[in-house]
Amino acid sequence: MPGTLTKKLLLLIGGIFLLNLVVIMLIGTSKMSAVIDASKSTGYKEKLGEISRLLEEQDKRLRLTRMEEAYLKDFQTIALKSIAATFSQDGPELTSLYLIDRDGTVLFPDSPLDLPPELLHRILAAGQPGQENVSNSDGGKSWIIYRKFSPWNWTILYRLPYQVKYAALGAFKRTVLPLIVAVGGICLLLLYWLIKRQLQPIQHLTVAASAMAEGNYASTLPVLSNDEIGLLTRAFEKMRLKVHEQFGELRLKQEIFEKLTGSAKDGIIQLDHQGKVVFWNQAGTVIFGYSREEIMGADLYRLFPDTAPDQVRGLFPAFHESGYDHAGGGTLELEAVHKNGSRLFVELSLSSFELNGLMQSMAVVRDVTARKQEEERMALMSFAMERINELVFLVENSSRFQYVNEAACRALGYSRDDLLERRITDIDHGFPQEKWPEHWLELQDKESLDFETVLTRQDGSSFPVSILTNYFEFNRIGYSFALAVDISQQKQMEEERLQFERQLMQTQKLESLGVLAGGIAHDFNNLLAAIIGHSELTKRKLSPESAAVNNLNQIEQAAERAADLAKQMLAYSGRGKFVIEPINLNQLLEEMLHMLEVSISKKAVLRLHPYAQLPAIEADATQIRQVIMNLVINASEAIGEKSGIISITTGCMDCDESYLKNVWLNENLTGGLYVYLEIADTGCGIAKDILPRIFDPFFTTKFTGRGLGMSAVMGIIRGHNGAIKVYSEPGKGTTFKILLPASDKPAEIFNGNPQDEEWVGSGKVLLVDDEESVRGIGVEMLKELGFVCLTADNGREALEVYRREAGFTLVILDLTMPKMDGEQCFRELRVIDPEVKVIISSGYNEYEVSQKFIGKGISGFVQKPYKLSALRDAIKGIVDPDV
Amino acid sequence: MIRRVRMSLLLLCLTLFGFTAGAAEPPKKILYIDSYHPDYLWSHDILAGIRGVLDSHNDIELSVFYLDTKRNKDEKFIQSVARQARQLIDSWHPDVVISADDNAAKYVVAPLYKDHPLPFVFCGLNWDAEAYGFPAENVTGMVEVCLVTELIETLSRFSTGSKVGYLASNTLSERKELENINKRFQLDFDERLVENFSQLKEAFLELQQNNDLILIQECRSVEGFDHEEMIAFVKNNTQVPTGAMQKYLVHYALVAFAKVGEEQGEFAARTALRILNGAEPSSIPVAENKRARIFLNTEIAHQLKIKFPIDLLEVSTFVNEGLFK
Repeated sequence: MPGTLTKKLLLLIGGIFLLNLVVIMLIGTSKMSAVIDASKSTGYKEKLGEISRLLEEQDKRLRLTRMEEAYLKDFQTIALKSIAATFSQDGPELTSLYLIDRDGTVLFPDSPLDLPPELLHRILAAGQPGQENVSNSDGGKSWIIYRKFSPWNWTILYRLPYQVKYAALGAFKRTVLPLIVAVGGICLLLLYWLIKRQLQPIQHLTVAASAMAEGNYASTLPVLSNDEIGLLTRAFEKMRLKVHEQFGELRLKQEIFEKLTGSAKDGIIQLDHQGKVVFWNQAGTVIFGYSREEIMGADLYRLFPDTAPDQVRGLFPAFHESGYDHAGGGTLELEAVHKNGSRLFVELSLSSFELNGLMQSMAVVRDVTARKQEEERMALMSFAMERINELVFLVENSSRFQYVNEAACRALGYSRDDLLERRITDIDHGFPQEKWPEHWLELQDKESLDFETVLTRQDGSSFPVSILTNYFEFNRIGYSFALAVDISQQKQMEEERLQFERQLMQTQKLESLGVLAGGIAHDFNNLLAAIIGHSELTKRKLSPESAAVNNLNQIEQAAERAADLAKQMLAYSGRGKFVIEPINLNQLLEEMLHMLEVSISKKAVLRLHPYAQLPAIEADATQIRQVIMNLVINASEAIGEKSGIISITTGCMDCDESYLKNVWLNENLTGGLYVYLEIADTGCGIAKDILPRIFDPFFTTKFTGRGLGMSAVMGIIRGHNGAIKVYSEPGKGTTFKILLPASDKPAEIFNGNPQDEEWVGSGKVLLVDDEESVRGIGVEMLKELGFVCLTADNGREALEVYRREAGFTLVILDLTMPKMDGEQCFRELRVIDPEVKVIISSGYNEYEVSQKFIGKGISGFVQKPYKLSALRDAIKGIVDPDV
Repeated sequence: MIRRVRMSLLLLCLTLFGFTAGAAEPPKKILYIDSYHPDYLWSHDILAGIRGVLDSHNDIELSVFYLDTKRNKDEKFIQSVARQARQLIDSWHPDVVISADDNAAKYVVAPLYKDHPLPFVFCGLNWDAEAYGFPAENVTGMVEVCLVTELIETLSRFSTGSKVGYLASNTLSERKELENINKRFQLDFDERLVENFSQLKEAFLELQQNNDLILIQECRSVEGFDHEEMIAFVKNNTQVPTGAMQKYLVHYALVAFAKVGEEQGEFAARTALRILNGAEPSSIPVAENKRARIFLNTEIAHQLKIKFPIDLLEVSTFVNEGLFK
C-alpha cells in the first residue's frame, strides 16, 4: 500500500467496520433473537391459528353434512391431507408440526414426538395455547408452541429445534456475515479505490512534497478534480511553483551566499545567542587555522585568548541583548591567536540580527596583520611625510594639489584645505599657468626635474625653494610628486657664504694687503721714525736761523707725508693709529666744515644735516676725519664741473642683524643702536659693474688718485666695527652711509689740548725693540724727557735686563720681536713684577693691541712711528696721571 | 478530466433520452366488450380472469364496455349499443378487442370487424363459433361448453341406473344448448323444456320418476320462478341424484359442475397478449373450456342419504358453505 494515509484511513475504516460488524452482530444477534422469538411466536401462533381454522373449516363442513360420525374420519383425513398439503412446503419445519389426539397419539406426522411424558401430558391437558423450551434427547434444545383444537380434542404443536428456530439467525450469520464481510471487503476495496483515487492528488502532493523535500521542485502536479483536494492541489501546485521559484531564488541566493562566504577573504562567523560559533566560512579556516568542524560550537573567545579577553567577552552580552554596542557599530582591532599559535591582527566587525526570537551575531573577521603592518608603515611614512621639513606636494596634471604636507602648509601659511583647492601656479607666481602644460610634458618626458623657484606665501611674502619633482602614474593618472626644500636659509647662507667669501677674500685681501701694508708701514714707520727723530733732534741742535733748518723741515714734511701714506696703508689694513675715544660726530663735522668747504669744487654745495640728539661714538677722530674727507672729496669729484649738492647727514637708527647683513664689511656685526653718517652727492653715480670694486685697493677711476682712499675708508670703518652702505644710481648720484655703533658714553669734548712740551719726567725706562734705529731714537727721546734708558732687542733680553736692573719706572715694549715677542715678554714681566708698567709700542693700532692685552694690565700704547710729543703724552699719562 | 465528465454527462443524457423515448410509447390498448352488465356473475368472472392476467402488465391499458343485452333484449337497444361499441373502437383505437358471449360477437365482431385489421378474441361463445364465421383472419377465441360427461359420471356414482333426465327452460338459448349437447355428446336425454315454474316442478318430479339421474339446466327464467321455493321444492322432492352445470343452479341439484368464467377471461387475455406480441389471430386455434367448479348440496345429499366419497369431498364445495367462498 503506497500511501501511509491511505493505509491509515483504510485501517481506520476497516477497524471501524470490524467494530461495527462485531457490534452489529452482537446487537443484531440479540435483537434478532428477540425478533425471532417474537416473530416465531407470532408466526407460529398464526400458523397454529391457520391450522386450527383449517380444522374448523373441515369440522364446519363436517357439521354441514349433518352426518358427523359418518364423515368424521373423512374430514379428519381431509384435514390432515390439507394440512400436509398446505404446510408441506414449509420444508424442514414440516417435521416440527405435530397433531396429537387426546390420547397423545401423534396423528401427524408419522414420526413420534420426543417429549418428556410429563410435558406432553401437561400440554394435552392445557386448555390454552402455550410455549415451552425443551431439551432434546440429542442434547439440543427445542422450542415448542401448541394450541388445542377442542372440537376434535386435538393438540396442534410445533416443535422447532433451536437450530431451526434460529435458523434465520444462523443463516443471518452465515449469509449476512460473509455478505457483510464481502460487502465490507468490497466497500474497503471501493474505499481503498476511492481513497486512493481521492488521495491520489494527496499522494501526488506527498510525492511532490517528498520530491520537494529532496529538493526536486520540477515535477508538475496534475489537477484531477475541482473539489477541495483539487483546490488544495491547485494551491499546492501554486505553492510548489512559488516554492520552486523561491527555492530557485533561495538556492541561487544560497549558492551566492556559499560562494560569497566561500570566496570571501574575510572570515564570516555566525554566533548564536550564547556566543557560540554556528557558522564558519573557509576564510575563517584560512585566517585562524581551525576547520569548521573544529570550531563549530566553540566559544569565539578562544580565538582571542590574550587580547583583553574580559573586554572581548564584555562586548557580547549587551550586544546580544540590544543589538547595539560600540562593538556593533564599529570595528575592533584585536590580536588573535592562530591554531598554530602564531599571533595575528584581525579586524572584527560585529552586527546583530534576530533569528527565531534569539539574537544572533555576525562577526566579520579580516586578517589585517599585513595591512596593519602596511598601515604602520604607511602611518610611519605619513608621519614622516608630515614631519619632514621639506615641503611635499602631490600635484595632478591640472596643477592642482592632491596632497600637501604639514611643512608645506606651515611654510606657505595656508591651511591644508585652502591649499588643496589651489594650484601650483597660485603659489609660484613666477610659473604662469600657461607654462604648466609644457612643464608637465617635460616632466613626463624626463620623469624627474630638479629646479629652483620662488614660492609665495599667503601673506604675499616669498621664499626660494629647491624642488625635486618626480612623475609617476597611479591608476592611469599622472601625478607630480614634488619635494621642495626651503632654501632661504641656504640662499642666505649661500649669500652669506658668498658675502663671507667676498669678505673673506676682502679680508684676506685686506689681511694680505694689511700685512703687506702693515709690514711696509711698520718698516716704513721705523725708518720714518728715525728720519723724523733725527730731523727733530738735528733741528734742536741747530740754530733756528740755520739754513739747514728749512731743509730739515722739508725732510720732516716729506717724512710726515710718507707717514700719512703709511697711515693710510695701516688704516686700510686696519692697523693704523687708533685712538679710541667717545666723540660727537656732529661736533667733528662742525670742526671740519670749513676745511671741507675749501676742499670741494666750487660748483658743489655742501649741506650739513646734523641730528641734534646724536649719540657719541667710540672712534678715532683722526680716522673719522679721514673718512669724511675722503668721501666728501670723492663726492665733489663725482659732481665734477657740474653743479651739485653734497649732503652730509647724521643720525642714529636701530639696526637689526638682517639690516646689517646687506652692508659692506659685515663682520659679525650685532644689532643695536648705530650712528650713521650719510654723505650723498648728485654726481655722476657709480656704474654697477664697478660698484663691487670701489673699495679695492689701488682701484681708481681718477687719473691722479692712488686708489687707496676708499680702501682706507673701508679699513677705518672696519676697524671701528662699522658698516658701509652704498646707494648709487648712475647719472643721479651716490650715497654712502656709514654706520658706527653708538656709544653709551658721553662724547668727550674734542678740544685738542695744547701739548705740554715742557714736561720732563725722571726714572729708569727699559726700551725693548728689535729695530736698532727705533731703540736709538727712542733712547734719545727718553733722555729728552728726563729718563734713563736701558734697551733690549728682544723679549728674553728684556727680561734679563729687568731682573738685573731693578727700579724701572716703566717698560716700552715692542710687540714683534725675535726670540720672545712682546706679548710673552709682557706676561713674564708681570710674573716678575706684577706692578710693572708697560707701554706697548707697535706699528699696529691700539685697538688691535688692546684686544691682545685686554685685562692684562698694560699701561699705555704708543704707535710707531711716534713723535716725541706722542711719547711724552704716553709716559706722562702713566708717570704723572694727575697732570 | 472535464472532457471525461462532459462525455459521461452526454452519455447519461442520451441514455435517459432513449429510456424516456422508449417509455414514451403509448401503452397497448385492449378493449373488452361484454355482452351483459357488470353485476352479472358470469360477466364478473370473465372480467376477473382478464384482470388476473393483465394486471401484471403495466403496458396494457384495459377498457371495458358493456352491451347490457341481458337486461335489455330490445333489438334497437342492442344495435344502438353495438354502434356505441364501434364508435368507441374507432375513437379509442384499441390494439386488440376481447368480446365476451354471443351478443358481442353477433352484433359487433361478426358484422363490423370480421377480417378487419383489428384483431378480436372472443370468449363465452356457446359451444360453437362457426355460427359467427369464426375463427377468421382477425378473430380467434374460446368457446364455452358444458362438462356434461364429467357430471354424468359423478352422478352415476350415486345413481342406481344410467337414464338421464334433462330439465331446462324452453328458451332459444336452452334449446340451442340442448341442441349443442346432443350434437356434441349424442346422448339420449329425457328432455323437459318448461315455460313456467309449475311446469318446472312438475317436470322435475316427472323426470325423477323415469330417470336415474337428472341434469338441471337454466330454469330460472321460467315464468313464476321462485328461488326459495325452488330450493325447498328440490330439498323435499329430490329422489335421484341431480346435477347442474351452472353456478346459479347449485342450490337445486345434488352436484353441480359449474363452468368457470375466469377460465374464459384468462384465455382471452393471454391470447390478446400473444397477438399484441406479434402472433396472428389466425394462427391461434379456437379453444374450449376445461375447468369446472364442483358444488355438493349436503341438504339434498342428506335427503338422499348419500355420503359423498372423500375424493369428491376434497375437490368440491358444499353449497351451503357459500357459493363465493
